Amino acid sequence: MKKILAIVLAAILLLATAACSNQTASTPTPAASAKPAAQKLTVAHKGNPTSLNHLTVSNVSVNGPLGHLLYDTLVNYDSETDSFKPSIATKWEQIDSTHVKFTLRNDVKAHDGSPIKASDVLYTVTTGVNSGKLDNYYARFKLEDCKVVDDYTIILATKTPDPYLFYTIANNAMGIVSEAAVKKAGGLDSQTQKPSSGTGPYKFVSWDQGAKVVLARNENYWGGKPFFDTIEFRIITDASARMINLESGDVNIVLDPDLNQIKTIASNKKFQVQNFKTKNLNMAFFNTTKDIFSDVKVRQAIALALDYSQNAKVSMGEYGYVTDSVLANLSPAYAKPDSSYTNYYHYDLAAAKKLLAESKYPNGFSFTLKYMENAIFTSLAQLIQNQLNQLNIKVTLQPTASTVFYNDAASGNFDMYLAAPSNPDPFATLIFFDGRLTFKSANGGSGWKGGDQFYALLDKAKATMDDKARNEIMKQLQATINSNVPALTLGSQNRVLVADANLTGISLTPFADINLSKASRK
Amino acid sequence: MLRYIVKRLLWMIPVVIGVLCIVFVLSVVTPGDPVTTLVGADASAEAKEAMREKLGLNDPVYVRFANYVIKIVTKGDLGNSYTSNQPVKTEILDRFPVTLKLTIASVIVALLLSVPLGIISAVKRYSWIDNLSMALSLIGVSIPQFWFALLTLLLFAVNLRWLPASGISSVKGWVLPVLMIGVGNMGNFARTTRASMLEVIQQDYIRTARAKGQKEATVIIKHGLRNALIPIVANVGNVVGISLGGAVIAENIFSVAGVGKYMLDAINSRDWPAVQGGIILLAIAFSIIMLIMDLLYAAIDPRLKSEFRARGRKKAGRKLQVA
Repeated sequence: MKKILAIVLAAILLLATAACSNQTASTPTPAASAKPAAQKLTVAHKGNPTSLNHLTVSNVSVNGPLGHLLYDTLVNYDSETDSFKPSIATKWEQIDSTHVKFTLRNDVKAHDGSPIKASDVLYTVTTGVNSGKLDNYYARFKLEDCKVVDDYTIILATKTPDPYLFYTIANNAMGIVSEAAVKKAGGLDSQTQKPSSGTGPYKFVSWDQGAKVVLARNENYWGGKPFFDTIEFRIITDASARMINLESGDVNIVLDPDLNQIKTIASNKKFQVQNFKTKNLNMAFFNTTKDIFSDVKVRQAIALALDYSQNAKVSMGEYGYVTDSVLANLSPAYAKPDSSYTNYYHYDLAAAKKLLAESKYPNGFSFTLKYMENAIFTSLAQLIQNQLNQLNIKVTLQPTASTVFYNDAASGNFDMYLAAPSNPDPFATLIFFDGRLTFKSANGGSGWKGGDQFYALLDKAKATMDDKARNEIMKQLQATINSNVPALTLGSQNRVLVADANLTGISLTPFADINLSKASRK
Repeated sequence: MLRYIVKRLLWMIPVVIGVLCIVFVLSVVTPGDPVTTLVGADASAEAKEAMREKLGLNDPVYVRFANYVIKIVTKGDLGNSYTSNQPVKTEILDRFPVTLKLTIASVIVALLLSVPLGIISAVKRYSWIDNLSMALSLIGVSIPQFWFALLTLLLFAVNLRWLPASGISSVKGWVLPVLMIGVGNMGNFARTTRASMLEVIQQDYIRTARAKGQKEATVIIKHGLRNALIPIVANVGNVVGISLGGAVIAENIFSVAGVGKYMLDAINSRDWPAVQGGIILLAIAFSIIMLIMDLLYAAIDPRLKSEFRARGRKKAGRKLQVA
């Protein structure tokens, strides 16, 4: 029996060794020699889309990469220069602080052939505002002041001055939808599964629920002939399986790869790793309404006890960068901390111990850290737990399901939580420090009360359209927040993808989604 | 027999209602807010409240339950998914055939491999072939499916490139998912077959069959296997029932759009209409499979068939006496 067991185990080991070996079979098989057709792009995607029309559901990250292929926005975002380029709108003019006039192309057609006019832009904005599902993008518009000037000119109005409006306008949640196409198809709900109302470079072909979505080139695309005949999004929820699919040649791009697995193929010249820096910032929010964290010295001591560069290195490796403010270094309003105030986002254990000794809790305490489970947050949470141990602060880690997590954040039911705001609009981050708002109205935050002077500055910044003047105010705002530490800055994570080495033209959307609309092969 | 089938089918009604009650109560007591899924985490408090009202989530639990049951009974409507806003019935029925095919194919493969293995093991008890097959089946049972799936992917899709790594659009695409589920079941079936066969081949009627000079193959297959089949069939029924809702790992790794993956996603996003719809479907499917298995017992075992008939005759006799 023992001998047989040994033989069987040896056979399994051989199988495992063969499977894990990097060498491919010496005799090329038909499947091995058959390279994917140059005109087809297959993308390994992490989840089944919830909708192929952004106006019918709340914006979900799995829909993002498809949105930019099916729909065009008024303006395009250039992630390399952090600037905006013409798209459906050829030019725009800021009439005043709350009104922008857009002039549209006159040759844009939806996938069903319906022409796109200014009324379609108004239809898109009106539908988005009324849906109530996309407040993050559409709540800013004042519908009664939005106006169609003529067939190809529209004025969009916002409720308040909105210096960062274009980040939102260039995002796929604001893709323009043809009203005529929607009506022809039988209403907006019809667009969820069989979209025909977009104008993007690729058209919908089929959706095999939970398995794949197939798109085909839009031959009448106004922006020139798209490169690929077809793009197939294959839904592979397991990160390891996505990577294996790339190695086997079944897919050409892996979105959202497991960062730990990238190393295994990084040296393979057949593949490339694209590592885009983003404005996404990992943050830990203190609940300052709780007694422990109402003491600023406790918060400052915790900030000083964390080793920021070590944490960024361990949790994100080369796929992220260290930050030193509550706005990411790439944020348009980021101001590098200077000597005009004390910044606590650096490692100084001795100073941390001294501050804690002066606080209401000199002997340490315990608290719970909530987070949605992913590799980076899990790693960051464990690092925080270990490092705060040095201050005799015991941290209980509590990974939480997303629906519970958001509810807890919006009801103040937490001691500290980890989050990574992805909205590039700096005010979308600063809302978490506006103490005039409740947890519920801010959907989380720290409950920190910055005081009247801080609020006045915040309002002034929002109303200032001049970049230079506004950035001056933003610098003061960051100085106040950074020195009071209502939240911790824990590094910015890059958007990473792994792809065939010959793929090019991949970029990022303003909200750091992958944009494949201009992808091609070298 | 027909009366028995109808009775069993009617029993499914309280089973489904019971399952529905349990799932509904779970959906109420489980923390988490489905509204966040629908309107997005950043939506305003007003938008969230409006959605809550629209979905009837502010109604008392008994009202929600009554509304849900009435819709199912009168219209066969399982509601719309919170995440996709599509009818749950359509979404589940789209996926169910794939899961069913995957389950049946894997069970057939497992049976084809394991039953002969189990028979040989029993007949050649304590021989090297018995030890080998039992070692293999032990490995089949204990090997983590996830690990085995990745290993086979690396070997057959990456290194040898014989099979696709994902998708089931071609026959080749089915091989790895079916193999993955089948190997796990194979060990289970082989061990059951061996145990059952060992018991049967020691019976007097086997010795009698041999004494009458019947061929060994006839003794084993006709007299032995047929009598050993009942525990195997029971096991197959359980495995099929569990696989219908539990082929999640294969579905996740091989990009197969099945019910298991659908329900897992639904649970993660607190998409209760999808979870409830999926569980109702699985409860019905499981009940039907169990019924089929019970009927198969009768077909396999003449004693059970005569028991059915005897019961029928007794009831008919009682009716006559009353008349």
